Amino acid sequence: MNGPARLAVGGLAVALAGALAAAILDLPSAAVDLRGAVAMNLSASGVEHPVTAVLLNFRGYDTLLEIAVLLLALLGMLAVAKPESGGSPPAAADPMLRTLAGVAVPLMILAAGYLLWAGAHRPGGAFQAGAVLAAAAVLLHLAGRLPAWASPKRMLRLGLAGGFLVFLAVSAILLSEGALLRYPLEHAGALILLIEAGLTLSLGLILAGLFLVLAWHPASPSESAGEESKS
Amino acid sequence: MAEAFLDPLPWLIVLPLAWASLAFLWGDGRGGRLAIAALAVQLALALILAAQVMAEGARVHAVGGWGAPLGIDLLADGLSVLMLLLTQAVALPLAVYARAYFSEVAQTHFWPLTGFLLAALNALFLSADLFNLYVTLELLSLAAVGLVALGGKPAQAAAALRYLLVSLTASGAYLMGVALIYGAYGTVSLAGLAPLIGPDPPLITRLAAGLMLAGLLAKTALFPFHFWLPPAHGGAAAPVSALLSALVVKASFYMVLRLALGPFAPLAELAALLLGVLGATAILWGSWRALTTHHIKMLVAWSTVAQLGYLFLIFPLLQPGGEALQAGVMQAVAHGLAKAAMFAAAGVLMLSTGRDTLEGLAGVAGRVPVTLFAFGLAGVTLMGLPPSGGFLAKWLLIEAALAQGQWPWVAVIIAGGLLAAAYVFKVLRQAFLLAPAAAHFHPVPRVMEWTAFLLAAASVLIGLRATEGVELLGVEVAP
Amino acid sequence: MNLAFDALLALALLWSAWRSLATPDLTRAVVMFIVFGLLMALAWARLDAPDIALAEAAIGAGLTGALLLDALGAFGKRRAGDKP
Repeated sequence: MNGPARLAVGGLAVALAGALAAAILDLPSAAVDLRGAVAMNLSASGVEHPVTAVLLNFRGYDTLLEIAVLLLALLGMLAVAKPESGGSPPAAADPMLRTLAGVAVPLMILAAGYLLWAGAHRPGGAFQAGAVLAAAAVLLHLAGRLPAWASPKRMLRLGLAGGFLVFLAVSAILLSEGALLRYPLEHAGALILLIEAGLTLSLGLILAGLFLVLAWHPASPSESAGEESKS
Repeated sequence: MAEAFLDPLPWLIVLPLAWASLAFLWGDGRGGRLAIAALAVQLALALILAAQVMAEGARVHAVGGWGAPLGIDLLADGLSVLMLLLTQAVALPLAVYARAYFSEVAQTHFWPLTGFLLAALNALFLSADLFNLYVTLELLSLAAVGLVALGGKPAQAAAALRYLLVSLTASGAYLMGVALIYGAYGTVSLAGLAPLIGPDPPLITRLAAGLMLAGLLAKTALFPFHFWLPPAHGGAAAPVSALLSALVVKASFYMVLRLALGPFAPLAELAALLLGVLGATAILWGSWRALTTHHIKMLVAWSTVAQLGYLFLIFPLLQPGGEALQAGVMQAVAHGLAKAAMFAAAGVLMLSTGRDTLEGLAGVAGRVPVTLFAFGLAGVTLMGLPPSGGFLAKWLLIEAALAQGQWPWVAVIIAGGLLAAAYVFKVLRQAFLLAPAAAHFHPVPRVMEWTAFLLAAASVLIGLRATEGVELLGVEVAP
Repeated sequence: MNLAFDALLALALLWSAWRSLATPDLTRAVVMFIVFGLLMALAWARLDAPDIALAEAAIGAGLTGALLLDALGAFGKRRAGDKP
């Protein structure tokens, strides 16, 4: 970027920052108190943690679409990547990293399971658990134990889309309760756990996929990958 | 219970999401037949919903049964149902077209991306919540970017990346506005915000509205934010260009309109003149660039920049119950159908001649006459000749402008129509020249020609069914 | 004490954001971006939003950082490949 353009962007950023500061300092008190509404309806949500209640129940529809956004991000990368070009086998990592990965990954999977379970009553849930799973997969790849992906095969695609499909199916079936995603009170907790479990797996695969698709460097000897990847 | 289960409103969102993910599972470019079948059902669902709204008034669907502001409400009023009808009516013939097109050109991810794109559009038109609108807009933009990148050519990847960066910046601006609104009012429900935003709102509301508007204008590619559109729409595969130009840019326009008519009505007047001036500039600049380009799809893409300008001419003329709103919606519908037809026709011309320049078109009239006729018919709508939908839109705009004594807009509308005639005839003239002896034409599936024709004919004939459209548009939520 | 910590955190956030944008060295920019992500996670924790702090640390700093580093690596390899 040249001088004047830089100056203009900088000026715009400073002006926006100033306006934001002025607006925030002059913040009127909100007319609607959603925290109160969340607290009042928490007992009817099927979970005890307000964030999970908002994400999976009160505004679960937003989350459903957000999962589709993540799936699309991966799909976009696959659309750009050229599957016909070969990929590199994972670089021979140093033994320290291999050993470390061997110890850390089982612990990370355990941590993901805990985060998923904890989401019902304290901070945690599918997003965090999925992220930890993805981090485990990335670590495995860096340690040379997990190959990069060329284009995902059928089983892997099922894993990638599975969480979203479970969520979508539950949303649609609950239409018989009178509205999209309207949980019956007695089954809300179980259904949310089911959705979150599916999401944890799929989010882990999707987030790891963003990395593993990118890691598939073309112009190297080809290898078969995809199916073996686990998490 | 069965009645609730078969409600068309939520299924318009669930169905495309479902077939998009199934197409992804199948992989390898499959899913075309499923998409066509599902789109036929979606068109039927949209028609049923339109009939319901016409008979019983606007409908609200409280997702999760909570109701706003705790939950998210979906709203089907006249405006959203018209946009839903347009979406399914454009998408179904384009899906048939795309299936034939991609038997000629290889692809692997078109169907899942298109499914998510259409789901995002339907969800956006039904949304009544600022944050939910953001989520649908993200879904829409990512699907659109993926579709632009589909061919994998370097130019397409570059156009897609530029589109992605503009799109993300725009989303960021919009989201920041939403966050400010939530901070100020504690709710993001459109219906909940409307009574809270008074005639002289505080700075934070003005700033939020400005940020959201800037983001949405960038996504709509209104001048001067239009720079990303021609390479993205002009470089993509023909069915993709058609979907993007006909529907995707209309979604962010719809949001501007929805917000200006709804919660931000007290602020709409402040931006009205600016929007009108930008729209007028877009009409003149876009038409001029369309006239001077040598590539057929770039011509159609620049024409989109120009035609989007008309949509924003309505803002200085917007009055409750006035004709400007009808003109804007009619323009969105007519241009959607016409531009889908034009890109579809351009795709056929390029497949047939194997070239993408206007010079290469010489002699093509004798080979694909139906396609050329479709291109001409769509051109009739863009020029605004009677009885087309484009004519009606421009006529209503001119009437509204004259009634309010704002005659400069009239001059712009007429100039835009003349320029459109010039660039459409430039293509037709070239096509009717004698083919050079060395010219070689490829056969093109007939179904591609006829779907282009169908869309073009619809863009002209829609003008004859305007009364129903106006009646439907009048259905609002009871205050 | 808390106020001082928050002020320091805010300054560090601004500084790391500025460095990651302004530095001409891409590797350093990515490292600063990761630092920014971790500081952001800390800020979320200070704002009593442990959920967002967790997600920010894992996705914002960890995964995005790894992606950026990997992209950088691929970029360098391709450049090296262009002129053997």
